[in-house]
Amino acid sequence: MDLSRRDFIKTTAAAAALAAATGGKFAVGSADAAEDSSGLKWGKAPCRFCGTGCGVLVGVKDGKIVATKGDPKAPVNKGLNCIKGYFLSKVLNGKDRLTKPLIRRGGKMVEASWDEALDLIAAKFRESIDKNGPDSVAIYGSGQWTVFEGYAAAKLFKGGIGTNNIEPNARLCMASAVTGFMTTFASDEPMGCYDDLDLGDTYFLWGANMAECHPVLFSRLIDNRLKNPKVKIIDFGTRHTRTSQMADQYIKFTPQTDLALLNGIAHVIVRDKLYDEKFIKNHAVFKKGKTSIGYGLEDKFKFVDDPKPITFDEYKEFLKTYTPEYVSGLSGVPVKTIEEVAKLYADKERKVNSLWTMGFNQHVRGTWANNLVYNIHLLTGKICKPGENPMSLTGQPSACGTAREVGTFTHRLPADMVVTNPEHREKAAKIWGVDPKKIPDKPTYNATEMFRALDRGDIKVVWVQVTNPFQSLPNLNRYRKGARKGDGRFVIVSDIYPTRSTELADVILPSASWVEKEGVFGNAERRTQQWFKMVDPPGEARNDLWQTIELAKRLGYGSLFPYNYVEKEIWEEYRLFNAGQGKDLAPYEAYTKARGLRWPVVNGQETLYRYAEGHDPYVKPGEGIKFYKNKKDDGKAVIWARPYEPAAEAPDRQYPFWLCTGRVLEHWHTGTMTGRVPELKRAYGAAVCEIHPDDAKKLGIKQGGKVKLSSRRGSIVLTADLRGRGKAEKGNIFVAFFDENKLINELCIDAYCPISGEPDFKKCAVKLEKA
Amino acid sequence: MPVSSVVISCRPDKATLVESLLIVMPQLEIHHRLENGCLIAVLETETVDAEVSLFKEIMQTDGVFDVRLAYHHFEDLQELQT
Repeated sequence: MDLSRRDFIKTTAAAAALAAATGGKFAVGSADAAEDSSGLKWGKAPCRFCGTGCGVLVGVKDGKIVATKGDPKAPVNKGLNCIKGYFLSKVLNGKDRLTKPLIRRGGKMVEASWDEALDLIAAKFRESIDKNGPDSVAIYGSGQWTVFEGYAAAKLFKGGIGTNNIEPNARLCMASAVTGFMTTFASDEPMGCYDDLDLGDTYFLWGANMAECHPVLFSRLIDNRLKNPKVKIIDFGTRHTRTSQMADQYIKFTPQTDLALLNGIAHVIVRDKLYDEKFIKNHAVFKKGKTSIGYGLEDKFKFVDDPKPITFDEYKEFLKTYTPEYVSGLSGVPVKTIEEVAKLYADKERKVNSLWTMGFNQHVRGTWANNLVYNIHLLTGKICKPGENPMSLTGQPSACGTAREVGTFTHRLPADMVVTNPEHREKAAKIWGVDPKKIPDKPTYNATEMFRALDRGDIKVVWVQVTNPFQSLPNLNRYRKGARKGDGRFVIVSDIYPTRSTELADVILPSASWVEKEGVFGNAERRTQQWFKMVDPPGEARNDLWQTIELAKRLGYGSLFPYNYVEKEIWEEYRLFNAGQGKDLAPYEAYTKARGLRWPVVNGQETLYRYAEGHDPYVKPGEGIKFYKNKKDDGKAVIWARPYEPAAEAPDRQYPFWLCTGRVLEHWHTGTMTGRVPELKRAYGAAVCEIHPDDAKKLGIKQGGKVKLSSRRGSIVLTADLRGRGKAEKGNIFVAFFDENKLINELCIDAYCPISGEPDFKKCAVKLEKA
Repeated sequence: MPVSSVVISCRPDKATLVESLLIVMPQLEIHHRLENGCLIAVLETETVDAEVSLFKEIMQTDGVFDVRLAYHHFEDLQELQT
């Protein structure tokens, strides 16, 4: 690159930053011209990484991506990306990209043609179905599937093969949020949107390290605080993080006691009559469900709740246990703090928001934790209003758009529908053009149970797409061994790089990624975003949508996919499920132009606030707020009496520490993309073991020393970190799960929330020794 | 050599201090300083690794509370790889 071009690029870069920082006041030239003066052709796409859904402009020259920039027209991030923007430059171009199908022969993976690989896969599917029935085959996808990919997989498996053996990895991260929404509001996904980050003044973060895991959203919070001195950020956590540093208040609590804290806050609100009586009367009912509901540790665990209506008085009686003193004893949070927080939540002069991620969701009572935070917003009437909402954040780019909205779970059909409802099956079958009897009326396995079934041999053939279960499942040793037990088991993995899952596969298929294909993702604020293919995938890599449809053709279900412009026609078909259900989507064309639209989209208008008159077209004039999806409770939301119950496994004399796993800023999930970039890997190369200095001192452990961490399920040797940017509280250990050479999930317990089926990656008992 | 631009947010009263700390960093040029304390900088390094390291170094600088990436150009890296 010559000097004048280099100077030109530097000037362009500075101008882009200036334009973004000033909200376009000093914009230079067109931000998204199809082709700019430097010869780059720009196209829009949502970021490939987390669930925030930031807009990115991708610059292509001579068929290659040579630049990216934050999309100034994207309302989510307004022209600025987080550090992961740097990763986009190279994740598609790692030297070990998979470019040819590979088949295991004699213990080695050898190159094969697509026809050979797909014919073999189809033969294995047919053989297993003929011998063991359709429930012996399965597909395991993710919240990184495009809407088209997830839809095609659901249609093939539920409507074609006739099995509900389809699950996404979102079961490991978002399922409790879904069941929380469904049990409280009878419809998945939030009422509010990211605008609340700019409009509110009080933000409670629960189990969410937003500064590292959702940095762009956290930046919006910080910007809000700069403009408005009233803004307070309160971080509830079991680990001191970068978020805690930036918060106005950090409140540490003993793991699992968030349930007690939430009930304690409700106790104070009710005791001091700080609730909004009129709101409760008009918009809420009270219920209780089963208690002592188990932990899903046994294979084929089943649980069905039994909701019973209760009165407000009975709910008050339930809350009597949760005095600040009792809750303080459990949680370690001072009584005074509990009282103050409750009053802050209820302060009529404050616009209060709650934000949470995996701390609530990856929890053996994850559904309850979600219910309990909604309780507080429903008691105080701080919901469905600009700047005042509870908001569950997501970790994957289309956990909402694909896993939750398309419904790629065993029990689900698109648009909140379920396989157990005959009318829902009828509707799905009609749209899909299949016999309603084809769709089985019973769910089969949640994600954990799916891999238990593979281990037992009840599932013989499993196809994994866009995810890495043999690094990300809990109690990993069991499921890794199960995959290679033989006896007819056959594992197919589609990915863009070799992973800890491809190493267990019988067939590896090379996939296209992100802007190597056309796609749609849906983010955490109900925003649906489309992009076009901009570059070719390397070698013979093909997108997962094509792969699924090719299998369908070989199994005799090609007629389910009679499309010419596959993506557009799938979209228009999928839209039929959503129309009139409060989940309406716009025609495909609209998304090709817009920087995403938040559903329901009715008459071309997106919806910022669900259930709110003047915002949501389903709410009639005069209704104010109407939770119209919850028809059985007359359009009211449910305040649940859900008790505190202990974790599945708590520290004891033998295993005296809590283990919590999670993410770090530099790496995303299992690191299959960010770990491919050698320079980035060096920046945060290996997972470390965060230990409180006092605990380390007692055990003679020094900064940078080796430690052996063990649970009842496995052991791992790590480097001790006593002064990293994340700081473990006393009695707690934190280890990130991105490192493919340090499989921390081997130590995690595969206990899950009985209602959501989501495992608890945040709590199990471990012991720590100097290695 | 990749080129990127970042928006550095800092407390308005600390902007001068932050600028003085950042200005000595090689591979970083400050292009603008806004009234609200934001600094606009261009990073020019040998590798993406160096960009990420620099980004993190800026983030950890006293008085800085946020750094965001606006533009990333890596045409040369592509040339090297092909």
